[in-house]
Amino acid sequence: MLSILIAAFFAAAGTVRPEPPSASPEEAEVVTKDELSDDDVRDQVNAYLGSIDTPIRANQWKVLGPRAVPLLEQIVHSDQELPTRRAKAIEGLAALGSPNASTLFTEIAAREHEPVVVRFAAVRGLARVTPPRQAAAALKPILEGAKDSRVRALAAEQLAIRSRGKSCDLVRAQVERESEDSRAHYHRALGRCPKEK
Amino acid sequence: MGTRTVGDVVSFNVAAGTGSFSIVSQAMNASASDVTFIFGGQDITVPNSVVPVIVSQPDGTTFYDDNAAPPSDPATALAAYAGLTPSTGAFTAPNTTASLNAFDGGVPAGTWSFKVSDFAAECASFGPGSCRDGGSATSTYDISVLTVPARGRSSGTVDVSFYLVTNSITAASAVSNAGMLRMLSTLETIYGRAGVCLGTVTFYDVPAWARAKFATGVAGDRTGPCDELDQMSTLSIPSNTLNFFFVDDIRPSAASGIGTVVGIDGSIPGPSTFGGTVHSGAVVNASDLGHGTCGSSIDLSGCGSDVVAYITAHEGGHWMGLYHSTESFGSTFDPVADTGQCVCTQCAPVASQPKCAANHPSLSPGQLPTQVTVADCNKGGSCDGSQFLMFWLFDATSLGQFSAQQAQIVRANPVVH
Repeated sequence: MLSILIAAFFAAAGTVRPEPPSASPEEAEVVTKDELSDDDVRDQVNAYLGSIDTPIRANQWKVLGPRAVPLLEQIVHSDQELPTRRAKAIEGLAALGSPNASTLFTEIAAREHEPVVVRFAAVRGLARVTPPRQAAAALKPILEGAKDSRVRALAAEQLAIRSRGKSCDLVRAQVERESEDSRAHYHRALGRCPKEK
Repeated sequence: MGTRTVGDVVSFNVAAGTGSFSIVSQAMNASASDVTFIFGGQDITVPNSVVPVIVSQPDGTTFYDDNAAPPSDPATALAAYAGLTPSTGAFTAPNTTASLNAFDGGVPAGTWSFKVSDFAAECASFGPGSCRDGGSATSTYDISVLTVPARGRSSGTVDVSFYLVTNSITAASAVSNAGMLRMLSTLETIYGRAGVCLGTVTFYDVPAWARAKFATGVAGDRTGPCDELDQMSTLSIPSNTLNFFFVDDIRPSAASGIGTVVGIDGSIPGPSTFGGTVHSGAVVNASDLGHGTCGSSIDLSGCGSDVVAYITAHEGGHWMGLYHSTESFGSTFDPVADTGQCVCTQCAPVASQPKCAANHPSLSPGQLPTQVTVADCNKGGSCDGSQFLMFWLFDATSLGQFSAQQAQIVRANPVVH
């Protein structure tokens, strides 16, 4: 047992990874690593973008501080970068809460030509940086306007989560408008909504 | 070996000339509740994972004891079993430097034995001082033991199956898709460094309901047997193949702050030869397939199909028994002596070393431990290891190599023939 527990903290790629004992709780305020040089911040950003099966948590992005923001924005904007790398950069920006994040994520989520993984990240990022009361206003255009039903379904799920179920009328109305095939994409969104009486 | 209850001692015979063995346990009626141990005064809750304890050799000596403290150098242990494997797990040896050396002339022939167990059974045996919740001594598992003849050669073949859980590509189109063909070529190059050739490659479409269910990605942060990841694995067909599920996204299950990943393996190692179990595959985000520009050599910065191949090879490496050569905090390492180590306290930028986990296990609130990067770990000596495929991350300079001992472990896995 001892060996398993110790190993489980650090070495269990592909399985649940309990937070290491020295890490802060997820939503706690974090202290920016000001001791890092600009090159160190760049190296750390690149490291996080190259992580394979070790999740980079929001507070790990946060400690890199505002110097990471322009580096990540450059990657998100670049069509030379690969989709998964851009998606990870969006996740980093969402965690850092950059001032331009909301506008940027809205634009990307709406672009029909973007790879779906990038649009997914943008929808999740938009939900994360939008205050709950404004979630419906931010996500409704995607929910109703995206041509890809997968993107609409993810917007529905994020809306249900972010509004804590209060916008589920919008979700259900959209499901009604969907074709039978597309409705199957909404199982997660509907799972976040209280059952109708 | 049939269905056995935790606590049962199971014996199996190893013939002369055997190169490796694998104990595969599949839940028949196992406790699905999480188990909470009291460890160092703290509660630690983990999924109820199957683990054989007290594996004994024919001469009666202990090969593996799950209750023993691990050695400071994991390479000196005869076996490593360091994953969380609820419901289904495989214990495969050799998977450490010590066992490679011990099995140099083959696995000792004769009668081996082990005790069937899981975390719930261990918790129950510890009593209330160490077991908060979830203890149970009644779980049953279907037990199988596989043995692989010593091959005495430096090459092998692995058959590979790709399950396409995506709307981007079908099995019919995959066989002529330029991005997929490039991915396969690069995968073969990487595995060739371990002396492993690709054998039969098969593409499968998954049922429409599965494509719909995972259309917005698969949740990668929940790995219980009824969760999405494990249920996806059950789509695999029973066969002795390395199974990969290509998906459009691997995402958190909720707005949890837990980041996305681009690959994930069901367990280390995978239950080779057993398709259709909850751990019978690795999942890869294939979104980069066909994106970017590919030249004549492997390009991990601009060729998306090479990136997908690298991630696929890495997750397949886990399936075949390999751990990360160095974990992200630079304080834990694989049980293999020739993969180098990248020690945070020596390799991270000097200004960051005080925050290495090994130096400062109890950082002030709000501070996070330092993580080592490729740039930190390509200097040789005690700052080495990023050249290997199983380093915890990759970048444009990664080489995707196997060490000699990693290659031996891979070739000893039952999925390689």
